[in-house]
Amino acid sequence: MTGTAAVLGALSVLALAAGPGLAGLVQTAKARLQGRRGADPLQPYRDLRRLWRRSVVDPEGTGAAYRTAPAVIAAVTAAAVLMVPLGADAPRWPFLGADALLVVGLLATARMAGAVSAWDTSAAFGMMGAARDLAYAVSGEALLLGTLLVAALPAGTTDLRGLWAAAAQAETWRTPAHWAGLLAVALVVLVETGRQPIDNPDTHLELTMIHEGPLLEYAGRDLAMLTWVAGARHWIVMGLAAGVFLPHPSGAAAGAVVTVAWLPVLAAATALAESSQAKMRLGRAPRLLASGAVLTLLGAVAWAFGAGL
Amino acid sequence: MAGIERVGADAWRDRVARGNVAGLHAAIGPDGTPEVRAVLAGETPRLLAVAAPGGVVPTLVDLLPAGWDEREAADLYGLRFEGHDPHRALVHHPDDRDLWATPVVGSDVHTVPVGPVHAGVIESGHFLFHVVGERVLHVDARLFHKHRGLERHAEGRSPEDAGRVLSRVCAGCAVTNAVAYAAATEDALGRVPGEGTRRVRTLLIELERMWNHLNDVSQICAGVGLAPGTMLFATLKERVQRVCALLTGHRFMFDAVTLASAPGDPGDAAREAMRAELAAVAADAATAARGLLFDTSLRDRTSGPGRIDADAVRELGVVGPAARAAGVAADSRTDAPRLWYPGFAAVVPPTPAGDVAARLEARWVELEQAAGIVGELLSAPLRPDAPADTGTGTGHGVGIAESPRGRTVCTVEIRGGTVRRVHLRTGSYANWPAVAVAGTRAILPDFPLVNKSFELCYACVDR
Amino acid sequence: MAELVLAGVALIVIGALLPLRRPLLAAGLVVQATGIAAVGVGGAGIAIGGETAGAAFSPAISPAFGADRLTGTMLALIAGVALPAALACIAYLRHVARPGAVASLFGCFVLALAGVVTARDASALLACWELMTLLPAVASLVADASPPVRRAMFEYLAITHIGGAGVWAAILVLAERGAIGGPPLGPGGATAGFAAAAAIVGFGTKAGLGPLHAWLPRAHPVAPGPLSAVMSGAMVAVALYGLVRVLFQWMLAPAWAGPALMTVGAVTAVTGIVYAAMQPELKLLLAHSTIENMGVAAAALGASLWLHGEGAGSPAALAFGAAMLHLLTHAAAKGGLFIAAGAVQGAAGTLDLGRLGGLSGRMPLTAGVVGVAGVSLAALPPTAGFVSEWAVLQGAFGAARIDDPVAGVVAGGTVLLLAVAAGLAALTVAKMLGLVLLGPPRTAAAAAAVEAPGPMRAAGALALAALAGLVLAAGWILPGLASMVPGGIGDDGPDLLDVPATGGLAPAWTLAVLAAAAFLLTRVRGRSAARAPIWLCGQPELARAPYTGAGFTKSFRIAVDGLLRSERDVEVERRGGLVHRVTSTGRVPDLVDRFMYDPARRLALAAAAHARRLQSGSLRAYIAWLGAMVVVCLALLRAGWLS
Repeated sequence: MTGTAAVLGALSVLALAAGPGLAGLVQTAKARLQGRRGADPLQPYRDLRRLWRRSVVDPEGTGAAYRTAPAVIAAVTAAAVLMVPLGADAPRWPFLGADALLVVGLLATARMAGAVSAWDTSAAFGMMGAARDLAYAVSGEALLLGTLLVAALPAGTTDLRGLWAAAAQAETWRTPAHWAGLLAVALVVLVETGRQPIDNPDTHLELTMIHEGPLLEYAGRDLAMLTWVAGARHWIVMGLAAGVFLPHPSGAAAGAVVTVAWLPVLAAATALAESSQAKMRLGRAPRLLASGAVLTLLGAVAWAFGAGL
Repeated sequence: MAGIERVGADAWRDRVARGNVAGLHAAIGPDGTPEVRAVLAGETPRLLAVAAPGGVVPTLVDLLPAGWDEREAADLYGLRFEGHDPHRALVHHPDDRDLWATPVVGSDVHTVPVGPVHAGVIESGHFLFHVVGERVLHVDARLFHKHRGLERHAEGRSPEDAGRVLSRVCAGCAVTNAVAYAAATEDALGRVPGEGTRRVRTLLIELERMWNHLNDVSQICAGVGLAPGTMLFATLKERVQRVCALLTGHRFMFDAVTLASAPGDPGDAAREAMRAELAAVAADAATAARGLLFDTSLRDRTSGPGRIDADAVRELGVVGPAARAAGVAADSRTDAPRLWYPGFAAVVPPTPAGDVAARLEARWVELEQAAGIVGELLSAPLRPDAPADTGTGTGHGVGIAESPRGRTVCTVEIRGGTVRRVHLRTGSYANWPAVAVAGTRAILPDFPLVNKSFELCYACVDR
Repeated sequence: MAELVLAGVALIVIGALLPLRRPLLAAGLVVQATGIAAVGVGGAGIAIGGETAGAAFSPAISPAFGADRLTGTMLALIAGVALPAALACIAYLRHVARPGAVASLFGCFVLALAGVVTARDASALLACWELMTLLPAVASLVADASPPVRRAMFEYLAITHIGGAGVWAAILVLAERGAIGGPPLGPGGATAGFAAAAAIVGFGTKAGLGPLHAWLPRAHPVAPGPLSAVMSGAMVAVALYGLVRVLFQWMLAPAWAGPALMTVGAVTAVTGIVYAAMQPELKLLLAHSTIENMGVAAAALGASLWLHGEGAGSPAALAFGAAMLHLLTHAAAKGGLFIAAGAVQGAAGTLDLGRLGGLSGRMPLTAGVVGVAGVSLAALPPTAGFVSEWAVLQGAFGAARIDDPVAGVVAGGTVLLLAVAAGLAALTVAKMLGLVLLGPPRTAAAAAAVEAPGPMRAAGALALAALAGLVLAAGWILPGLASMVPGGIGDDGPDLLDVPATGGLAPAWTLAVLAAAAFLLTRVRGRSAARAPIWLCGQPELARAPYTGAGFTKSFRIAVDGLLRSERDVEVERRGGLVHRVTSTGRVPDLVDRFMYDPARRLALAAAAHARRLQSGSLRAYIAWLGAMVVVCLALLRAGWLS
């Protein structure tokens, strides 16, 4: 019992701490791919330490919505981080569960908290970012749920542990649905981590910002929390992609190790995707996401055709 | 000698309408009354002036794209242009938005103010977007944030000293500005530089064009987040700038062109090495440009937004690559007796649609053209004229040079060996109003891209 | 419990009579509220206790009333909306003409709703159904008889009566076959198909299902605030209740009914919320959002029906429970929002979203209602709306597992459409919260707004309590609701019904997340914060011009402009080479109106013009027509088409 608790504690700390490192890894890989030296993957932690020491700023005229948003976003993101599956029988926090739809919901709650905070200031950049984030989420949600649907069809559940176990089965890989989901989840990773061609995390051009827009207003520990959230989202979506869609052995220890080992690979792939194409025009990206969603629908239809086999 | 012709208020609009006006500016006339001067471009550029007794002159804004010129003159010289109503402050920055911005009304309209302090390292410019969400209805640009007082700083000095001030108006067009100033001053003093000096100045101005265009392509790629393009063209730009540094001692070639001197020959071997390096850069750029041409993600972003067609070019007085990207083959190098452009013909890109893609293509064809000129000029020794004393002459002069952003016009008034009035109207100054218009022809997040496709200079217009 | 319901009904009757004397207005409404509370408690008791009360369903055409668990649930739902609405009436009716009559009609309307769900035979059901349709129209016209209201009410009655014919047809056919109370009508044959189609059209029209939803956003917003709450929260749910009785209990639905209902529901959800997002007025926005939520509930019902027909009992029960829970959470949220809209209108004098703003500081309780109910509408955790949306999606996932390629398309498509609807709901709610509660006040009236009067605050608090109760008890309510499905929960029901991480009952994780947020807020963020102006790129404060609703939704609209066909006209005034002024006007037209109702109206007018020729005034012509009709009827009878 104590042993399980210790493992759970250690895994949770690892999961909560690893997100910024993954984001740092993407940045480093991107710099190398672009012929720059770039910062090392630990840079996000240094940024967090720097922000941690600074005071927060409350813009005049803002209220509770602005002030609570970083904490709410960080809390729901932390809950989602702890749900990422590292195995079918990996230790779990009581009550938290591991439902895939709940993870989607928590990410949406974070988005809403950000939008409400943007409305609280009503300043243009935050509002632009929030409006675009929510607009992208319309087809983004369809993509996300479609992806989960094709994963849930063979697994028969939306519990992430069940989905993880299904991806470890050879039969799953024989269904076209899973392959459609694999393609779609690549888009999910790019959308949810705010990467090109959907969003450009490194831009300094306010008018083009999506996820960075609302951050312009925050400082100090608020900004640290939001920066951590941006990193943690890498852990969540890459963890979901690896656990639910990438091959891994079904054994507890080996499965967990392989699942985690996929993460740097996904980070490198993200960096490659980001370095090889321009950001899409606003208004086109939702269509890309919608076509990803339609792909998952084809997967679902294909599954229904093959289900009787 | 350019000379100046003074006309009465009644003939002013008539005369201007018949000429090819390349900018207006205000000055104090010989009798102490303010006057407005117009540059009439042509084989020999001339100045036309009208006195403004009581500070009132007839407006030209309904005849030609002189809106900014008049607003600047009104703000700096207290003039009132009759018929230019309402006057909107340009150089002055009143707090009240009604005094400088266009009223945009209607359902759901709101504004997005951007700048002068940006999230990135960007020069100070303020753009007030009147929008409905992502849709841009109107853009009011408010530049002139830095009161540098450069014209005043130059006035009252000797032509050499004034030249040093003028060459620091901006780094991007340092050579062009210096060349235009030198041409204006030499025009005022009745001199014509020898072929050697003309060849050196042409070499430097084309080198400047090369690194600027390479930089612009890099910036356009950065505007859409296309990292390979950004980094590659930034590297090529740096390679050109290193040649510039070898040749003139300065990557931006500050002070390379003055009235008295120009860089001498670096020696055959060094010159040949430079020529080879620049040819290699041009070849690399051409290869990279072909790669970008087939990059659909870039193509998709650049095709369409910020369209300024040929009609708009004429209406707004657009110059330089932006005009040529709309198919208007206007280039002041076709008629540049003070520089060295034998057989020069303006080039327009293959698809002169006037959008971001066309402006990008315009950079490529001009890059090739500039590389050709540079290669030719570097294949013979550089022999600038011997330094000469500027003396204590008197007169008005106009100098015109084609900067990487378009026609730059410099006017100088020298009296008794002292600069009395100097005015610089750069390609950036001419094109800024078009950027604001182009902004309404794109969605809001495409504005930075549209802006980068012009890649104008903010410092050039600071007064 | 049945006695409690009866006592409640008696109190509502008394409470409806009292306001006819002006000084007794408030007293009457309090009596009504007491009665409604009694009905609700009684209904909940019946739903939980499981005993039936009063008459059972009977095919005979003699008025009878009774209650079973489903009826009890609906009574609780109606009361859950009507109780705060009755309290809100006390404050709200001061602003309307003839408050006494409206208060009285309000009570009658609640009774009609209760009548529909307690009716145990065709005659009582249809009578209460018609009253339920007519009473809010009468009440709205009594409160305000201006031309726009008259027009809206005409359209409401016209569309619901055209569609409502389906209700009559379905109920009468079923009564005639003895299916009400007797053995259910079999799935085969034209009769079953006709009855199912008629029920979906008839009840669906009243529930706001597309494409016959056009009346809803016209009628709900013009009614007085508390009445809108009952219409939008309870009346539409009662309509779906009727559909449940017909399709689940009184007949074995034909195989196409489930997929059809699912499709109609999913498409309705998306069209409803798309136009909700575009609305410039609070009550219009809420009314369109009602359409979305009824679509979601209908999709879940369709999934349940389908799974039921395929013999998948447990997922069918889950989907059924999901639909019912969605009706409950939507009723609580929407009721609260319409009451809050009434409060906002009272305080700021308008519901134009462009003329509110910054009310969160001045109207904290109303803001709380709008915030919590809004987030619940957006189906976000940790609200009740998320739990019901979760269950609905589980139902759709279940339907996608049906061994049939059609399931892949319909159920898979439904999942995607529900996801799109959820994404748009978030956009809509963010717009609503931002424009009503946050940012700077857009007008002087909004800046001077004060919190609503006592009864309205009480109503808001009740709505909040209902939402909190629903989320805290969701893990326990959902299995209860699911067990009401005919056929019962299957073997793996309990497992399926485990609301994520509820541990069976309290959503402890919700509290854990909230605690974590509170910890971060108080301990980590600390109390010392620097004050600074809002970042405007170094521009002075006066350069600030807050975002507009159309601006906020524009990012979405440019992606789908080919579908939405929004209209914007930009006029640039140029004189003497200068731009003097730019004027912009824009709107998003309702394409259902444009492509369905406008041609239908033109067609109807054209048909009327033709029909007028028949009105020749000649007696011989009329006799000839009558004769022809008799001949046609006889021929049909002979052919066996009429029986």
